[in-house]
Amino acid sequence: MSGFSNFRTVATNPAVQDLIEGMSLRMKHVSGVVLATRDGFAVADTLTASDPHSAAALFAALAGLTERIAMNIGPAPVDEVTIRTAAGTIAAYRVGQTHTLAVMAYPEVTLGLLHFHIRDLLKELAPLLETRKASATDEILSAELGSRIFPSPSRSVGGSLHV
Amino acid sequence: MPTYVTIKILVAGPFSAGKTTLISSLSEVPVVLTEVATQHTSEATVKSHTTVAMDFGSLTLHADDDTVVRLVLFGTPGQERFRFMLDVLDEGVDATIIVVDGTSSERWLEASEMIAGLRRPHIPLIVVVNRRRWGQSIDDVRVSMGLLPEQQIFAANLVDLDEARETIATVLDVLLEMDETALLLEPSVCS
Repeated sequence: MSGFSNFRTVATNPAVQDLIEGMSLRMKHVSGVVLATRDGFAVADTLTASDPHSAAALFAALAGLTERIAMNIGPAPVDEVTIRTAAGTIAAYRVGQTHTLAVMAYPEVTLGLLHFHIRDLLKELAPLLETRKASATDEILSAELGSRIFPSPSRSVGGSLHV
Repeated sequence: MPTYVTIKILVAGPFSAGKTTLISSLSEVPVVLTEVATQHTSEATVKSHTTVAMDFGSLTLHADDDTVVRLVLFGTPGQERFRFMLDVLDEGVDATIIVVDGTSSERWLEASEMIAGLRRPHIPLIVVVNRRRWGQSIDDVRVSMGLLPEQQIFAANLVDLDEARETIATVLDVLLEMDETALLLEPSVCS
């Protein structure tokens, strides 16, 4: 039995988190930011009231879904998606081929300005993520978890595993 | 600080099989649902709401002091017209659970088509028969679905939390038993 080996590990990238937080502070009327991988995991966020992992899952689905919708006008990656409601605006941007950046803003936000500033941010963000991807590959965890998962009394499933 | 390991599990299967039930039972975080009221008679008579995009839930495994395993569950809509979401949510998946309703044999073929459509033999896949009828043979379901003899299939009543947990435990067993060279997955960086 080999155990859970080579699964995706979770690590934060301070440079990416700093960039996201800085933007969130600088930009007026922005309430939260989430950077998600295309397969639905949160990389960095400034959310305080909601779960970034749930948000990342939704934004990854949004990115995939809109890409399929966009196929109706031709095969090309979707650069941005905007959702406007009375409660505010959510704009989701493609970051390279691997990530989606979602920005939540209050109704007062000027969409043109938001797009303008985010496009600058994306230029800074993309190279950081490419670097991070290479370094994450080097850090693949070879955790031999198989024999190490131990019982948790409150969540016993029986057998050899406990969730 | 512990190392976090994340495992993505896709929960797919035909309409009204029990996918949302499974995720809702297991998730430790508020489940993200995209359920809307059913309108077409053929579906409204079966249930009042249906998933149109995805369900999302997650739970944490107690590994040891140094390692935390987070399981994330992505549920698909069941109807053929939403089949594209299967491809959307399939990105980066580590294991798949196909849920079928033991009382709806007319939909088993749809499940077989889903399995065939996934075409990724290196990703473990298990079939769960929800709401098995009294005396129903799992081998009969296997044969009806045209599954290979080695395909893992078992019955579980997914409204029962213990049986839902058994389902996840089985998926983890399969992952644990896999040769590690088959698990060379693209890592992603999470917070």
